[in-house]
Amino acid sequence: MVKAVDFIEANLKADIAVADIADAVSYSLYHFCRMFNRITRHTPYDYLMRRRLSESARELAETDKKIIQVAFDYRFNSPETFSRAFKRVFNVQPYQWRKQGSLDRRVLMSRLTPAHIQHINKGDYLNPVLEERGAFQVAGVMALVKDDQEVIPLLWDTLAGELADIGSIDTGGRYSGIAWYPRGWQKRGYLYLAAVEAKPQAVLGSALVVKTMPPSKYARFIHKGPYRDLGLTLDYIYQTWLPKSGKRTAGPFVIEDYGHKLGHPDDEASETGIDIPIK
Amino acid sequence: MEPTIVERDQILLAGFSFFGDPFAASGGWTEENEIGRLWNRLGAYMAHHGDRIKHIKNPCVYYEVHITHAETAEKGHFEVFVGVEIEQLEDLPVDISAKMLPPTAYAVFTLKGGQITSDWARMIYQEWMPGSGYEEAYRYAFQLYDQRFKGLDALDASVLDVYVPVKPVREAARAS
Repeated sequence: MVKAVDFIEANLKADIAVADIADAVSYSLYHFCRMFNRITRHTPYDYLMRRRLSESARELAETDKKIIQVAFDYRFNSPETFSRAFKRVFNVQPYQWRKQGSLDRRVLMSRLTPAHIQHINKGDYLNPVLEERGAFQVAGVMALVKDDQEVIPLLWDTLAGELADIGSIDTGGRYSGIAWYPRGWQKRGYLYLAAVEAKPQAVLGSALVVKTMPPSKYARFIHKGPYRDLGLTLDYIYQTWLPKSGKRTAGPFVIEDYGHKLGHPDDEASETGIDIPIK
Repeated sequence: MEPTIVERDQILLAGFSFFGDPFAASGGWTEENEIGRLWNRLGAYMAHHGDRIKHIKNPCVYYEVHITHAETAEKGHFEVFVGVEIEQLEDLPVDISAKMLPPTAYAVFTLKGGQITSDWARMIYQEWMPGSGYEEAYRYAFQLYDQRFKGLDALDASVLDVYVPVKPVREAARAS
């Protein structure tokens, strides 16, 4: 199936049909559709269209090419069919997307690499449980995270230090890493809060930021493996699971639930709860 | 694998239909896809309301028909019809669909065990058909499920026939 993905990626601007992809990997159309879906969790046609739309979205945000040119480059018959498909998948019109200028990983479909495929097929960790959570308060240390994620372990160390001073009277002992993805986060970075649950009237050191998380519905996934692979899980959640689920995100943030262990695990066997706010 | 060539009259079927990519919800060979869903619906219907369908030839024999449409090559969307054979269309309940297969010759392939989940479509159309002296007569094929099929979890003990409509390749007209 990696070969099939390679073929699709090499032909995003070419006039290919699903039958051509099946031929390229020497499967009958019927067998190919079955296998492709089992391994990638997308139908071949869905993957092809989402990739075409995502690459065209990238070009709209990064270049000055006319919308009509991008539409024809990616094999749409007319600006109208392009616009309709774009709106259906990304919930905005192409010109609105271009104006808005942000590249949101949460919406664009990235190329499925062998790492993605292997990660998805690791097991049944990628089917979520839906749950409601009431409002809760957290206290922690926050920073802007850019190209590398090395600041995150530092945040957890800093939090550990602060908590050692405070003691656990006013904290709930449940650790969460909360990431916020503001507009333009791919270029400017995202905000990460390494936090512990705090009682509403807690008296805490002034080095800590206190935040109240609103009540919300969440889809809880279990990410298995080291922290550095979290991106693969998030790609699956936003690009594969979310579109199929019929649900939408309720806010531009993600909660990593570490239970009673101070965050940032690094071994293959560790499990982290990932809560995505949905509506 | 060599097929048996048989001639069949028109086949009238009563059952349920799906159009699209049957594996959109889930690929693989579990029942968690549209084909599995069709079978579940049909099984439930036959168990509770099977008496509403008149003139069933054999209630223990089921057909799964795959039909190519205009969009099939482009999008991988096709039609799947599952049903039982009926002698005639009389008083068909509104919640049951009918399918009429034309009279034609069929190449019948008998699949056993692991062959059932292999890429038999490729074997039939890309390997057997060219050079067989036959070509596709209609753009559909069906699988016949009878008592020889023991279930998805007992494939090793199962036997399944695939029927492919064929006609002899016409000799090129000779100029005289």
